[in-house]
Amino acid sequence: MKKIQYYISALLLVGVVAMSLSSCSNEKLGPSIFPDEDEVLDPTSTTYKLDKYLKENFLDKYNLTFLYKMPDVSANMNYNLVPARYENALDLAVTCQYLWFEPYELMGGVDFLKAYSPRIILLVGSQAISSATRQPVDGLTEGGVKITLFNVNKMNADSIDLMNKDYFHTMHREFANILRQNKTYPTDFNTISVGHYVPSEWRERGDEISSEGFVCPYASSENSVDFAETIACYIVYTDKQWEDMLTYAACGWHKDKNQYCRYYKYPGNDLTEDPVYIPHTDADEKKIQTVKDADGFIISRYVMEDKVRVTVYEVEDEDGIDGVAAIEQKVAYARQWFREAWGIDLDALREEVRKRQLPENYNIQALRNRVYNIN
Amino acid sequence: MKKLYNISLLTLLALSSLSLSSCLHNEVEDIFDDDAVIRLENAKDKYFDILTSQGGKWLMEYYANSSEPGYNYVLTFYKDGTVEMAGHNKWINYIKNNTLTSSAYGTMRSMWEVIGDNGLVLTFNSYNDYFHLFSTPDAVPTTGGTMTAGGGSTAGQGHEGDYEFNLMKFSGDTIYMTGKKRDLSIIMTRLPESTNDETYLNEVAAVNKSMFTSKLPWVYIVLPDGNRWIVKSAATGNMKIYPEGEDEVMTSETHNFIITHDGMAFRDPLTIGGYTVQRFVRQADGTALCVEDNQTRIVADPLVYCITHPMLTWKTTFKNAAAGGVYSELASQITTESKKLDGTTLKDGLINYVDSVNKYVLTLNFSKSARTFPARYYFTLISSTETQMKIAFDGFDGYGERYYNNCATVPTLLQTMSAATFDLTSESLLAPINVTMTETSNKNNFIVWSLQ
Repeated sequence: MKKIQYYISALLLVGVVAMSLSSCSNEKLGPSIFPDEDEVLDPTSTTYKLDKYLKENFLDKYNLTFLYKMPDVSANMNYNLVPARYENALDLAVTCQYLWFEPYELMGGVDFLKAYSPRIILLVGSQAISSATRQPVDGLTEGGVKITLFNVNKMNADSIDLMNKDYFHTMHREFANILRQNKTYPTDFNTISVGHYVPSEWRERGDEISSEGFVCPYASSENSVDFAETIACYIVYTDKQWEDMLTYAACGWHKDKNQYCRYYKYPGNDLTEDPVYIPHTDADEKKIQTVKDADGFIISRYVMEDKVRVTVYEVEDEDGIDGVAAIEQKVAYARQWFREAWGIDLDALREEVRKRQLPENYNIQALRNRVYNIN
Repeated sequence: MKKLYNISLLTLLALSSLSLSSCLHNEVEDIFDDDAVIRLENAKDKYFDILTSQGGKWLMEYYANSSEPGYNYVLTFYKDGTVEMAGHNKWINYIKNNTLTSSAYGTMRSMWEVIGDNGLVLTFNSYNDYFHLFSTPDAVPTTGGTMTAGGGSTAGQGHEGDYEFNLMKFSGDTIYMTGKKRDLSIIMTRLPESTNDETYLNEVAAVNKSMFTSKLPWVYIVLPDGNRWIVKSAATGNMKIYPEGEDEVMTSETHNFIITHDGMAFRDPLTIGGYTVQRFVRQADGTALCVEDNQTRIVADPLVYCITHPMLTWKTTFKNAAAGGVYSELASQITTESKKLDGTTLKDGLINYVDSVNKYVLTLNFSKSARTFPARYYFTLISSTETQMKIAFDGFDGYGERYYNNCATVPTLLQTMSAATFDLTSESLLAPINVTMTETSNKNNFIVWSLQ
């Protein structure tokens, strides 16, 4: 009896298992419901060449989707935004490759970019203006994987200065943000300007912010931004921009009637009068002339008023911060972090970017041909 | 052993139930022929074919928001992913000529695509100067805003128009859509392949110019039951309406609409006084007839009411085509006489109502250099129907006496007008900006009055 029960159980078990296995046998696997990547590009499409360029140079190479046909679901729906102009998107794609990805690839290798470059770059034609603050946003990084670049329709690819100011400064900053989210930068960096960050008031600051040890006003908003801005400015600033910034960092500044001033004078050279400050943003500052000694050092400054030399004095630096030293210290931390965390020589990267920006090397038409010549 | 047997049996039962349930999901899926993604891809292909077939030419009735008029765009969809977008409006004129005083035609090619994004979406996904102007956050030019902090009232917002549209349905060569962000109804209607974009839009612009006039304070929607709704500000493309006899402030509603090739249409169907209306076709007499019920009309006051309306002023120059027959001759003779009298010429004539004396006045303006000498002659309305009137002059004021007594043709003109009965006609009974007063007994004698 027990044997019979055993056999019945065994038979039932085999039957059930067989049913289980065969229960879905009539399902046939159909074609994939997802489009084949190779078939996505339509050779009859007007945008075929650019699409192919983006696929080969960004998607296949770095696993990066370069979105220029803006689906607004990809952007912040709280902003009113428009797509990028096609021609501008093409210009930005080729300059991105030339001035951003290729230098980084040269310094860090393709695997570095494959691992750490953003997964998505989204181009937006307009500025993003917050309806609450009326402040424009020039770029956004989301979760270390997506960089949104705004105002692409106002782009002028013929001017490398404008490209740096409006786009590549943002790109290098946002990429630095992605990198620091992956490998922490030295915490000692945060101690350099501790107590001097102004999260909201930074928008009201100008060149004078350098005297507090910041490369630009935005850098003074918080320490992580400071780190990313230090790297971005170091890479994209021209020699003159960097020197000017260090000059401002070495100056004393006086706030007079909500304007920052580096110089002042006494009316009619009468030292008993109240001093008159010369706002940094005024054209008057440019009228200041210098008297130099034989070695080229500045001995004195003056402005001509009614054919009289009125002596101009420098504002004393009383903020207690050595702005130049602070900035150089920050660059040193960035340099060290790039070398130790990423094996990249920041100075070499900077030189590579600068070399590519030289007038004899930067040819937007030749860069456009990278797309136009695709078959 | 019995215990083991029972456990085995329970295990078998559990396995059996799992076996039977493992295929249940197929029964649900079989409701549809294909997987969701495949169905979406097929639907995208279907709309791609609809949009690009038969020449791919469509008329889009576009609304950026609920306070601006609708704008017509002729779109030509091409299979290579490009679309020609042609429009004719004042914002395009601003881009082209930096002025908003009139509208201008503009056309530009950009990209389009049907994408799957929480459903089917038609997107115009590369910037088009003449279309995306409604979506850009730049300040709307009229508000004078800037893009900087604390800028104009619309900086950062712009017109707030959509450029991505949910495809709702395709029926009878019309595609029904809603803006993805603002949810406004937008329709596209197929146009013949042979349509010339510029000619078509110029024709719509001509309708736009003449359909309504801002010079007339109000017109009426006349419902099939005879009840009337007063319509104000129709010339702005955003009309205020309220029932006649009701309080304007308490009962008025504002609705934007679009001027079409053959009339006008409200953005959405509108129910007023129990009737639902949306599209109106312009008739030969200039009035508009509702398509939905073929009875509701939009009309102005009868011409006699218009020309004698206390708030309106009408003007004639008596010259060229503005006067005919005896009136042209009399005006010419008056100038000859006034030149002899004081060196003046008859510049123009005005008709309006003067509250202080409770009378109508015909003012003959005589001018010399930069000076004008208004000669006023009062008249009353003796009799009238909706399109016919008879007047009688009964006094003068200002310089009226001087010219009446010293230019013999002035009394002749007034007597001629008093003796006649006039028929009133206009090219448009909805926007009568020019009304012709023609003598009933002699069609050659007429004066054309223009609404000021």
